[in-house]
Amino acid sequence: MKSILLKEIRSFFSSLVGYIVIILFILICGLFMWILPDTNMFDYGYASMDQFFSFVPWILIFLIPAITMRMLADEYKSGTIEMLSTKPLKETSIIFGKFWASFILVCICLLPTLLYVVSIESLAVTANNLDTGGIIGSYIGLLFLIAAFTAIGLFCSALTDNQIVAFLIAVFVNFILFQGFESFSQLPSFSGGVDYIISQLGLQFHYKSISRGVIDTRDLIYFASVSLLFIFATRLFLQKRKWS
Amino acid sequence: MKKLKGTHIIRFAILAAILLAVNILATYVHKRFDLTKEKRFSLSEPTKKFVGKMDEIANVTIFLQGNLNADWQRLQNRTIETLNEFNEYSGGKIQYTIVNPMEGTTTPKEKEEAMKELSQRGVLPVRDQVQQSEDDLGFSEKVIFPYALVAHNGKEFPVSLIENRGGMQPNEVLNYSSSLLEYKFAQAIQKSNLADQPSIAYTVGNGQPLGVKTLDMLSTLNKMYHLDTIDLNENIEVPKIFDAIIITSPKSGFDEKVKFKIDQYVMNGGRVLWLIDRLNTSMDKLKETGTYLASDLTTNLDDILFKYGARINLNLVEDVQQNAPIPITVGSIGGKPDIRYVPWVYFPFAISTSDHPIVHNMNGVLFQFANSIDTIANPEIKKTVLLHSSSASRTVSAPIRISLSDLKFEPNPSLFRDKNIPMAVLLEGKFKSNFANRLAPKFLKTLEDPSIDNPFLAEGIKKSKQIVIGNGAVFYNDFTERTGPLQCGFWKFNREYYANKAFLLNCIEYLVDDSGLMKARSKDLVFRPLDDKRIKNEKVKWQFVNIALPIVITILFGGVFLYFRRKKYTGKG
Repeated sequence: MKSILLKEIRSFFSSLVGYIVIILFILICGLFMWILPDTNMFDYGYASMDQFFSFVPWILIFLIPAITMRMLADEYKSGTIEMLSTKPLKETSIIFGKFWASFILVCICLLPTLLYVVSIESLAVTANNLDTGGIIGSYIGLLFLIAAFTAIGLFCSALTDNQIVAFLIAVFVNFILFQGFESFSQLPSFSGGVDYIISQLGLQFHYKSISRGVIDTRDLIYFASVSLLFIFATRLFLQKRKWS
Repeated sequence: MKKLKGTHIIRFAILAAILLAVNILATYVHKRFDLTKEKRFSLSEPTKKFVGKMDEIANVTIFLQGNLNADWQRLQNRTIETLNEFNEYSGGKIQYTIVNPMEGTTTPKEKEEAMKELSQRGVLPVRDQVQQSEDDLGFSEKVIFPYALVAHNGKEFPVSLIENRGGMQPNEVLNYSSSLLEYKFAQAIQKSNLADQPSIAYTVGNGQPLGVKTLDMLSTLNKMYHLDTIDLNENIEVPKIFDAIIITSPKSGFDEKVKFKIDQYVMNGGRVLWLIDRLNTSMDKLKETGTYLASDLTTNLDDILFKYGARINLNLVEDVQQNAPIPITVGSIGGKPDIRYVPWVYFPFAISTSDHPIVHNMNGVLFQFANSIDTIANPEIKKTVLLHSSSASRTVSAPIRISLSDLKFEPNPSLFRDKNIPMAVLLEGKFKSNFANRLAPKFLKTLEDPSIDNPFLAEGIKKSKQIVIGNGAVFYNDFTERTGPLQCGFWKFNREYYANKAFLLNCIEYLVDDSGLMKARSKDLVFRPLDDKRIKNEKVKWQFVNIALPIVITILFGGVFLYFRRKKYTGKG
C-alpha cells in the first residue's frame, strides 16, 4: 500500500497537471474568499471562516474527481493494472494506496487556505478572539467530506478506462450525493417529516452540521460509511476482471 | 469463475448491510462535541428536555427573507440553525418554512394590504437602509420582517427575531439577537403548550397604585398571563390558583392578618414579587415646594421579609455615576424659563453584571428613590443580587431632607465611596413562616377544622421564589398630556428606554416558570467583527497576499521538485 501511495504522490508532483490543479484550486478559493461579491470576507465583515466552509464543497466536487480520475482509469488503459495484479498485492491494498494518495493530495491543496485563517485573525478588531475550536472542527468535517468525495472519485475511475468519462461521472455522483438529496427533500410532496429523513441521506446535511464546528459521532460514521461503501464497490469492480 | 463472482457480490452485499446497520445504530447511541469557543450550538439542558417532550408538530414560518444583506442573512441562518438544533432533540417535531411576505405583491396597495394582514398577526416590518453601491452615498429603503410565527397546538405566537438594547452597533444588535433565539422559540412553543396561561394577581388594598401609572405594565402582563387583582384585606386568603402575586409600593401598613395570608400563600409554594418603598417620596411635592422631608411609610413588612431573607432599609440610594436627569429651572432668558437637565443622584439606573437569566445582557433599570436591600444569613434560602448600584454610590439614612437646591452644587464624587449596593434580590428555597410559634393554639385548631381545612404551615411545603425590589417606581410608566401613558421604563427627559419592562417581565417569568427554560437567556455569543477601517485601506494588500502568495509558493516548490528530479535521473543516465 505504501509503495503505491508514494508512487502516486510522486507522479502527481512530477507532472505539470498536478501543479495546475493546485493553482486553480487556490485561485478559485481566493476569488470566492477575497474578491467575488456575495462571498468575500470584506463584505461579510466577521472574523469567521463560515463563508469558506460554505463554498469549498462546491469546488471540491470538481477538484477531487480531477485528482482521482486517472487513478485507476489510467492503469486500465495502459494495462498496468495487470502488472499490479501480478505483484504480490491484494486489490484492497491497491485501492487503499490510491485512496490515501488522493486524500493526501487534496489535503495538500487545502493547506494554503490556512493562510486565510491567519489573515482573518490579523484583520479582526480584537486580537486572539478567533473561534479556533470552531474552525478546527470545521476543518475536521471538511476532511471527512474529502474522504467521501475521494472514495466516490476512485470508484468512478474504476468504472472506465477513459479519464474524462471517469471525471464526469464522479462530478455527477458527487453532486447528486451532496445536493441531490437536499433538493429532492424539498419537493412539496415530502413535506411533513419525510423531507427531514431524505435530506439526512445526503452528504450536505451531515456536512452542514459538522462544518459549524460540532462533531457528532453520527456524522462521522455516516461519512466513514459512505467512503467505505464506495471503496468496497471499487474493489468489486476490480475483482470483476477475474470473473470472466 | 462464476463461483468467484457470487462470493464477491455476496461479500459486498454483507459489507453494505453492516454499514447500514452501523448507521442506524449510530442514531440511537451518539455523542456530540461542540468545539466552538462559546458552545454556540449547544442548547441549554432545560431546552433540550423541553423539546424532547414535544408531542405535537410545531410549524414555524420565518418571514425574514428576500434580498437580505449579510447581517440579516446571518440572523436568518442562525434562526434556521437554532430550529435545526431543536429538531436534534425533538425528533423533527419542528417544521419551518421561509417565506418572503412581500413576494407576489407588486402594487403599493397590495403591499400595504399584505403588511396590514401580517401586523395583525404580530409580524411587524423593519425598515432597512441598503447602500446602493460602494461609491454611491445614496440609500434605498427596504422593508423586511424579522419575525417568525410559531403555530403549535392550534395557537399562533409571533416571535421577534431581533432584540435591541440601547447603545448597540447595528451588527452587535444582530449578534445579541441571535443569542436570544433559543430562549424565544422555546418560550413561544411552551406558551402554546400550556393548557392555561399562568395566573398572576396584582394586589390592592393597602394603597398600591392602580391607574395610569401602572397601565403599561399591567396591560402587558394581561397579554401574557391571566391577570387579576385581589384585595388582600377582603379575601380570606390568597388563592393558591395564582402562580404569583405582585405587591407594588403599598402606602399604608399591612396588618398582621394580611401578612398571615401572604405568609401562608408563600408556604404553599406561592411566589411573590415585592416592589416596596419604605419612604414617602414624591416628585410632585418636590416640584411644588422645592424641598421636603422623606418620611417612613411604616409598611410594617420588616419582620416578614426579614424571615424570608431580605431587609429593605430605611434609606435612599444615591448614585453619581449612573443616574437619570431631571429638568430644573435655573433662571430665565428673555422672560422664558431657562430649563436645564441635571443628573439626579436619587434616580439611579442599575446595569447588571450578573449572568443570572433574569438580568443577563440587559440594559439599565431605572429606580426612583430606591431603598437598599440587605440579605439575611438564613442558610436555607439562596439569595442572588439581581441589580445593584454603580461603583460610585452611597446610601443616606432617613429622615432625609430632599431639596432641589442641592442641584446647585455638583455632587462631590469622593463622597460616593460605596459600590454595588443591592437594590433587587432574588430569594429561592423553602421559606419558613413568619408566624411559627406565634399563634394561639385555639386559632391553630380553627384552621384545622374540617370546615376550613387550611392547617397552618410553619414551613414551606415546596420550594418557592420571591423577588424583592427596593423601589415601587420600577413598575411605573410615565405619561405626558399629549401622548398619554408612555412605556414603562421610558424616561422622557433624556428620551431613554430603560429596561424596566424587560426586567419585570423576566422576573415574573422566572417566578412562575419552573421548567428552567429561561436559562437559555444566559447564552452569550462573542461578537467578532473585522476591522472596517483596515478592510477599506488594506483590501488590495490582503487580496494579493491570500491569492498570489500561495501560488508563488506552489510554483517555487514545483520548480525545486522538478529540478532535483531531473538532476537525479539525468545524473544517473
